[in-house]
Amino acid sequence: MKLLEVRNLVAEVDNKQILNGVNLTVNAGEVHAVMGPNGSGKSTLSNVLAGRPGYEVTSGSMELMGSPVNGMSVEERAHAGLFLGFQYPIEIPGVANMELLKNAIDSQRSATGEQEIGARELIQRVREVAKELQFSEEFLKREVNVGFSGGEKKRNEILQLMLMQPKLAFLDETDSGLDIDALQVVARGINAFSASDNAVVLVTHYQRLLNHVDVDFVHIMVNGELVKSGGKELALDVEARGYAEFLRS
Amino acid sequence: MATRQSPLSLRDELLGRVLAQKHVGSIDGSVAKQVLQRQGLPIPHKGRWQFTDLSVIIDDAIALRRNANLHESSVADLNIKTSSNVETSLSGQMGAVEASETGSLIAVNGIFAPRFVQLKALDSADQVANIELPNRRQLDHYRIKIGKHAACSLTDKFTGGNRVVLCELDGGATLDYSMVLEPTKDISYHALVVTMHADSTFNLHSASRGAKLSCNEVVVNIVGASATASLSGGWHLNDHSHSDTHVYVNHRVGGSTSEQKFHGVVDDSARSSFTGCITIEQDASGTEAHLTNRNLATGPNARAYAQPELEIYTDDVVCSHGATTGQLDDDALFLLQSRGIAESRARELLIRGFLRAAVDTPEGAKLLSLET
Amino acid sequence: MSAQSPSSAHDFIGKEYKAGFVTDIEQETFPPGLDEAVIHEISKRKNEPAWLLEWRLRAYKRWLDMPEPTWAKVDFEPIDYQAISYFASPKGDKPKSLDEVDPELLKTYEKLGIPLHEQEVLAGVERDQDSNRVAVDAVFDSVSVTTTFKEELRAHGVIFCSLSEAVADHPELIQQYLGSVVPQGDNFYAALNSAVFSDGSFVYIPKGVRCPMELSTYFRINAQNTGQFERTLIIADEGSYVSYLEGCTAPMRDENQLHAAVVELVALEDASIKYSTVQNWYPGDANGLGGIYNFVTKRGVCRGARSHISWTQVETGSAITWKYPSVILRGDDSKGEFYSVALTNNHQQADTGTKMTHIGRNTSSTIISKGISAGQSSNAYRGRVRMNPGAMKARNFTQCDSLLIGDRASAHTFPSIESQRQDAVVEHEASTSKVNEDQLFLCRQRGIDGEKAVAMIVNGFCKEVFRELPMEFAVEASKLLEVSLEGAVG
Repeated sequence: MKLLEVRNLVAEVDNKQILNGVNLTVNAGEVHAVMGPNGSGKSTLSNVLAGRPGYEVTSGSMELMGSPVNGMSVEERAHAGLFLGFQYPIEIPGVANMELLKNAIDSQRSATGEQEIGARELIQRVREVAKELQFSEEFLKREVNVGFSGGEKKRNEILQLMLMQPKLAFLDETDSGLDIDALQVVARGINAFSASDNAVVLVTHYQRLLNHVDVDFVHIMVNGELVKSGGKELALDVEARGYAEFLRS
Repeated sequence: MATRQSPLSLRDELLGRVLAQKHVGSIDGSVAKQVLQRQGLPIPHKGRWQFTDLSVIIDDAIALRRNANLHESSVADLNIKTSSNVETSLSGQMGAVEASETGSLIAVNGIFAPRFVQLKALDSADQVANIELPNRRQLDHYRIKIGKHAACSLTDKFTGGNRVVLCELDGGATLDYSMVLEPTKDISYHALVVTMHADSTFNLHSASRGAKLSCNEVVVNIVGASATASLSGGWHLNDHSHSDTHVYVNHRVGGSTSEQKFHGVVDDSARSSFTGCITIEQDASGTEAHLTNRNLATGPNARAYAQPELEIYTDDVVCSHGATTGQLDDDALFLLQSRGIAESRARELLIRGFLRAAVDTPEGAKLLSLET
Repeated sequence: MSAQSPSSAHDFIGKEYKAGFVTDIEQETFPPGLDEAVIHEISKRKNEPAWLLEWRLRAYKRWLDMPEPTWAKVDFEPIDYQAISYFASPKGDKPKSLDEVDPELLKTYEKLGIPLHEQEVLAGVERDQDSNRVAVDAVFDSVSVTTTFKEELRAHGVIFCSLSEAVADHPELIQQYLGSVVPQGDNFYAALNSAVFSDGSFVYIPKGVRCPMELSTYFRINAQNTGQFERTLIIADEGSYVSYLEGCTAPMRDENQLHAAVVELVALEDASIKYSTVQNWYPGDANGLGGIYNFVTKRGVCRGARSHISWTQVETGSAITWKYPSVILRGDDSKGEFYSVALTNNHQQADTGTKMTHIGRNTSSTIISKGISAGQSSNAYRGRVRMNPGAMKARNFTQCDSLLIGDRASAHTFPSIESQRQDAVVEHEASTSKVNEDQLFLCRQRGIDGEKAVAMIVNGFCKEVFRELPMEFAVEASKLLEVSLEGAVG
């Protein structure tokens, strides 16, 4: 099943064209990696897909689960099954982590006509996932990302991913700023999430996360385009030789 | 209560005193008179004027008016130093800016000043223009225009009197303004009004030692986009000196930034008051504006007042202000003493460091003895 | 997730002002107008002693000579003080027990979720322990309808009754303390209140007693064209503690109604008073028609050493709010606090803040103010921190944050710091911005719709203040905030 189809996507930020015709298809059961140097447009692709205000699509198309996302609000895209893992998860003072999770899950459920999650069920699920991600009980009471270390913020993104169970996870530089232990925890979370009925797109600068997560496809992004696609070996290639040869072309 | 005059009736009486003065100079103060009649005077002893006796300033202006030298008839008599790319002339007319925008005390100066001096830094000059205003105890009124894309450096030393400087920065202009208010046993009233057009830059560096009564008003009106205003200043007051600083930054259009930093040290029985108001009007979205005012009280009878204000009429803004009053940091003092520095010397060092953070010109550093 | 979480979807309450109904009850209302005869009549109705009538008349004379204050950043048509009625009460004698109270009145409080039966507790709160019990003094227009738990409180020596009863039963306390914190001529509205005040609550906590339950007063305006002028006096004797809550609502009407109250708090040595308000007077409609003018003088004095007064307020209602709960820190080592959330929407105007006057040595004060302006409203923080010459090593910290929602709302900050003491430290910080777009995007990306996301973020912004409220009020405050914000997010 096709979860995402991006065709000739051109997009701009502050009147500056950043994406110059991106093509990408993601099917259920697949894990993709989009790699590229800084400023190549990787984060822009994630944000455009999620509908972040300020990111303008000027031409091309995007379809989520077979429906065009054009005209869908940020929330509707989320309800359709898109999850964006943030590169810099923002702090929300005064709002408890649990509050965010409950509201997020309930809005998802109300969009599909399901009942709200019970407090007991939620706590139980959060505890399970938190344990896997090595979060302490104390974490459940804390405010969203407030006072979190860089690694905790990223693990918190993965916690949200695992609890919300989206169809398509677009994880923007989830590996940056993590020490090796945290990287392994995050990778375990991604592997646990990944299944035959969903898909993961890892947006990353480095290959090192790919040592811990099995990817099916690797795409190289340069100057707002996916210039080359291949299997896992492409990532090792980049690791060894850098992006220079792609930049030249 | 009954025997003391009410602030409202005092205000009316002061206004009457100003308007009753006979007009004798070469200028036409009628526009300023209209402004004053329309705006009235602030209410003495209230709000922003609760710490400084307005009537003292008014009476001093009237006295200066009586003793004004009306015989200076040419620019040369005024002893203004400028570089060659600055034009200077005298005027007898109030301009549109004064009539529409300036406050009441500025209008009082406009009524009494014997002449208005106009200076213009020429458009797009290759060289930085220099202006040095003469220091004399007088009723001075300057109108200074910085032409398009011109850069100007202005030095304004002032030892008491009543001076108003109105500056207009054309598109892309830059003005570096060094204001040095020297200590005096006299009354000192100084007002600076700056109108900033698009892409202009204004940097104020001020330093003051206070006066018997010193009132220093700064008004910055940002009327063009992408303008940058940076205002800083320090004051160090001792004995019974008094200093009242009012800074108003008005963002009328959006996309501009302003930053203010004022540090004051109040020793002996001196009094310091600071009012800093940032106004962001409804059309000024995309504005960033910040203000800090810190005060150190080092004297047993020192008084420090601070009134930082924000008035914001649109939502797309980032604004902050902070104000503190306090004493020297005990830990810092201990550290210096533990390094063998005597307490009095240690205090001096810390006070200097505190003032240096807000005073960054050689003239200012000299006035406040901050040179290393 | 606790059951009290304020923003789970089932907590969501309707759009309209829920307390906006009118109680259909026979009332006796004075004809509009104010003169000495009216004051005589009020005093007579309440069987007051001669000295109190004299006190009222002195206040009235002061009031006649006073100008209305104009310095606040609020704008309204002049009030015609002769068009207001100064007394309204349900007909008949004061009921001696709950059984005698008019069933319509009982229904009113039931609808508002205010427990007048002692076995009930505040609406929406699961009853678990004794600690949740709240004693209520219910003031309906100009009179107190009933006060609950009086007997049980009496057993602890705590006096909790209407001010009128206190005048009769405890004249020595009233004579000693009435007007001792807010003098008759303090300001225009306080003078008016001193002349015509009708009812309110009186609390006395004896030496060393920790009040066994929360005390509260619920103010309800019902009658038309009537002003409400209640007066509250709380005295915490040496070493005592009390937490007091205040709530208020009014029907939806097109006219503006005046509410000019006075609250006085006295904390003696080692005493502690915690005063919380959730103010939900009718704010007027979306076009600015109607609503209460809430012109209130609240002040506490920390008289004794180590005494402590803490004000917490959540102001979401009223067309205009003019209110500065203040603390005079007279006792050495005394402590004053002010925690405030003020939310304005549509055409509401608020000018609110505090004054902390430090007189004693080692006194300290904390001010946390959160202002939210939406629609075309105007919201101002006004504060004054004064360190008097004797306030050795006094300390203040002030944090004042404003959040703007929509480009036609305005937010203002007018603090004044007056330090007359070398070793005093005053720190003031303020910020103003709109709702952070990155926070909003994160919530929306997680599927939470915009309005809900804004409510969550605003609730988070106010958390520091809500934390200070007793639990049941915190829940109420969060809900109110959410309802008040509706329609603000475009």
